[in-house]
Amino acid sequence: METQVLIIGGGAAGCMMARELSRYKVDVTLVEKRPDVGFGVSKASNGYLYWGMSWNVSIVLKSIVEQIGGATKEAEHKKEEMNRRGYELWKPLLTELDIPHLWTPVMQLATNPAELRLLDMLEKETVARNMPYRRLNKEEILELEPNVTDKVIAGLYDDSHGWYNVYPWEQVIAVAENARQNGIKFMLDTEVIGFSKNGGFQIVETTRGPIKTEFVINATGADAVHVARLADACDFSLQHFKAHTIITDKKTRNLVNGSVAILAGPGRLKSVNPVQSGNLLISSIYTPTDSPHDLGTDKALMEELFGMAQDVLPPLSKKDVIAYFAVSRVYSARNPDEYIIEFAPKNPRFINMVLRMPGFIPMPVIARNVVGMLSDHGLQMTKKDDFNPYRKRIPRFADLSSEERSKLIKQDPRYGHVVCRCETVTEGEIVEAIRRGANTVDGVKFRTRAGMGRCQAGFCGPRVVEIIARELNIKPTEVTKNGGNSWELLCESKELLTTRKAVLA
Amino acid sequence: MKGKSIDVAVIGAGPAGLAAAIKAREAGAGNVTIIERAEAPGGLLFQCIHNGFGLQRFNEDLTGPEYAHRFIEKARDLGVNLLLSSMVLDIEADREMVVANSRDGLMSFQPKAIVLAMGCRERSRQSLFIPGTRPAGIFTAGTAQRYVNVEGYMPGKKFVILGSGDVGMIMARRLTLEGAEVKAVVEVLPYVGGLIRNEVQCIYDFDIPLMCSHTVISVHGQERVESVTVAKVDKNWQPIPGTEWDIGCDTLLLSVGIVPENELSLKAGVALDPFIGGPVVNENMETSVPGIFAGGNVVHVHDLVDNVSEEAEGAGLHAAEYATGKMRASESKITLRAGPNIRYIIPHSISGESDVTLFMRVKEPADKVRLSVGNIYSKALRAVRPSEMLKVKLTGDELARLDRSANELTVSCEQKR
Ligand SMILES: Cc1cc2nc3c(=O)[nH]c(=O)nc-3n(C[C@H](O)[C@H](O)[C@H](O)COP(=O)(O)OP(=O)(O)OC[C@H]3O[C@@H](n4cnc5c(N)ncnc54)[C@H](O)[C@@H]3O)c2cc1C
Ligand SMILES: Cc1cc2nc3c(=O)[nH]c(=O)nc-3n(C[C@H](O)[C@H](O)[C@H](O)COP(=O)(O)OP(=O)(O)OC[C@H]3O[C@@H](n4cnc5c(N)ncnc54)[C@H](O)[C@@H]3O)c2cc1C
Repeated sequence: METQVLIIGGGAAGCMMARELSRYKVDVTLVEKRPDVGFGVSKASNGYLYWGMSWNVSIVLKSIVEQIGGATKEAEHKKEEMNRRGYELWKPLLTELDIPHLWTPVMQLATNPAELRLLDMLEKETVARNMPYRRLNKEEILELEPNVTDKVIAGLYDDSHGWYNVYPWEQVIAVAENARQNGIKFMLDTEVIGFSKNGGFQIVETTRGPIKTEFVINATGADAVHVARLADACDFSLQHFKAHTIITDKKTRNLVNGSVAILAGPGRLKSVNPVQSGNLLISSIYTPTDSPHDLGTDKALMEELFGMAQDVLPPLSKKDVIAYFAVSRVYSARNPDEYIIEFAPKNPRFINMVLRMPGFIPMPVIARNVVGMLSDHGLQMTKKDDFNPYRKRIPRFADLSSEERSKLIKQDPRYGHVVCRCETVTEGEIVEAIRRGANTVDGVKFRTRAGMGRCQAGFCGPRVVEIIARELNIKPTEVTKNGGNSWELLCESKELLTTRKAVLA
Repeated sequence: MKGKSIDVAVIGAGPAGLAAAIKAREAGAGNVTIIERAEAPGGLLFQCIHNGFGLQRFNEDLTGPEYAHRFIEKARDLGVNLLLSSMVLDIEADREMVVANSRDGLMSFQPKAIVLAMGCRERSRQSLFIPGTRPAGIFTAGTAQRYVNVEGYMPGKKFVILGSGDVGMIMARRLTLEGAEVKAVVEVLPYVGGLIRNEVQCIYDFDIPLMCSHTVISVHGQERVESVTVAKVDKNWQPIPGTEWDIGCDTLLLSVGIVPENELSLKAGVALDPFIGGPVVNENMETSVPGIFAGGNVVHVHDLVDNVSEEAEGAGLHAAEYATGKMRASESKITLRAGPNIRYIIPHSISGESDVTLFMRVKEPADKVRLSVGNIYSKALRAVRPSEMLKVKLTGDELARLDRSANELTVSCEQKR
């Protein structure tokens, strides 16, 4: 196989890069080791597109991340600029790519003198960055958010800039679908395992055979060091921080009108955020880790995190928790503020692209910059005349009006068959998700929300497996949760009895 | 599309819905229609292929499908309409229902009365805060039951079952019979959560290791479950450090509780009991919204289907009376209070004027107790357990003793001195 640009990694970085390159007459291939795009870190991120008053995490994170050392004003300035422009570029993108999103105001609170000091720091920073905000007293806070703790003493509020919440994976999938529409080749279930050189070309060894390419973009996130080393193209190292997240039932949605948070101290942000789906998302505790692929959750941290959310919003009850998970963020060990976007020192045709937090927001800017870098290094960049920036989402039955629902069922009766009762997801949506590339239970779940509700697939699980098997013409025992050996079912009923009989006989 | 006129609409064709519909027809309602999401009637019973159903009602030992079949036949004979593969999406003001299916698209009905019989759902891992990885191979016991009994697939080969609810114990036996290995049934309480009958017939008879006062504290495995860590717990259900060990398995089944399924009830504006999760009902099984009745697991979780049928018949009867304008204006003004060792009582209130059956559960197991309802009813019981529902019939004699001016009655279950 041959291509001009090979992107390794189908996360937020790789997919946005692919879409940007799909504007040009260049042959581009993206390889992803998992069975679907966005299943790395991107899937488990919070999904905020915001660059206003409080890119609040930076303050509490700084306290721990800066222990890494090496922060410079220059990197910070660059980060600020990329995110500021990225935020603006995302607004039209949300429309072009038909990505569902929720806009909410943002509120930062303090309940004691220590938190007040952090709040004052944030205010100073906000003024320096020239971002819109208002300072609120207790009464004003409780008027806007009547359910927050009555221990509040002061707050900052931004309802002019505000933040967009998207499902992080939906964002990645939308970008990837549009890139594919515009001619980018996606090879899923394809892992890069080695490199060699052949004249002016690089040969990238994958689990599906070698790929000959002019340029390589290493967008493998937490695996970036490993992959860069395979190509002898690594002069950086990464630090990993684990973050726990909790999701609560939709019935908690009305407890807040916008995002509400308390800056609590090093590595601790007490933050409760309405998300696009109508649930609340609770974050964040950051703890350093050496094993970024260990996604295990920790009971004590989860309990602490939930307690933190209750400090902000006392009416929250543990009974409302419907999901929780943990995932790692990466930071450059050279300089915690930097995004690593550069050619490898010994290989002028190999770009390392490692995103720190936030990663989604600046990506439209980074992708443009990388097009410039490729062109500077001799790749001919001619714009296509027929680039189509638009992509349409899968219709979401639950969100439609009665007339729209009736129309949809008339067009395709499968939209009249509700499969997931908690989220009201129909067979029509599931079949469409599979048509667009979902081939696992998680692939369907993340495209349609089937199984994401309060019963967590207890009811629709077997039905989704059945539909995937039917549509892909495979056996139910061949269906996985998310690739590899994550089988949903291990064998047919009675099979164990026949094998046991055979052993006995 | 506007649907035809319905007297009593029943949501759900499980045992509750079927019994309610039958009773509603028998009580004179003209058009009685059951709306059921699945492609066949029977509800949960469809996947309960074990026996033990109908002992009280029919004095026979039936399987779930056999028990359901008797009701399905009767409903057909009585001309109950069954709208299958159809989901009720919404109930609006004035009982206007929105229903979707593939054949007719979106429909709206405005029945004269509604019976809620949507059943229940199982609690998932999430509601338990079990830390660790999130691999494939974690199922609720009911989901596994559906896979094995209805779909014909084994979700695993080596199981650990967390929780000793009835479904969990029944699955421990089923899986053993299917040739799988059940490594342990782990229960956080010092006693099993389900019926004694199931403890004996499903656990002891099959030599399945049962570990009470233990819990699963972590799950391991990246792609598929590889093992779980189990630990002993103290009186407050907290794991005792130093007692942990790992059990290798490919599947973790959860049987950790069942909750009434009431999202639709909430949309209809029906008040729920925050403790039980089901609608607040009076002795007519009428909810806080006039004309909307409820019965079966949607109200509270039953252990015997026979009781489901009995309770739902009450809902069906009164829904029919409401629809045909025959309902006696009886006010349920006496609230039932849960006294010592009583977890809850259904219904929430009674009128004191007609015979009524109370369903209740205790909080903790106890021996040699006296169950009493105010000063009108009292009975000595040898042993009570939370898993076994208690039933009290209040008829003429007891009601005659009732103080008419009282607006409260306390139910208690105290140790005899
Ligand atoms: C908890 C959390 C919350 C966050 N919240 C936000 C937020 O609100 N807003 C925001 O903008 N950012 C946020 N971020 C940051 C953002 O999510 C990340 O910066 C971004 O998702 C990183 O994308 P990526 O493509 O670099 O990495 P990934 O998504 O991890 O993609 C890398 C991909 O490479 C693949 N890969 C690895 N090795 C190989 C190989 N050898 N061969 C082939 N493929 C390979 C992986 O399977 C993976 O799919 C958050 C991050 C976290 C952890
Ligand atoms: C595993 C298991 C084992 C059991 N074993 C025994 C036993 O041995 N002996 C015994 O006596 N009892 C047993 N029981 C108890 C008994 O079977 C249940 O209590 C009984 O099935 C509950 O009846 P139901 O009608 O309330 O609910 P369900 O049977 O759950 O029926 C509810 C119906 O409503 C439908 N529905 C829900 N929402 C909608 C909607 N929006 N639109 C349309 N339709 C909807 C559902 O599809 C379902 O068919 C067992 C229960 C379980 C779970």
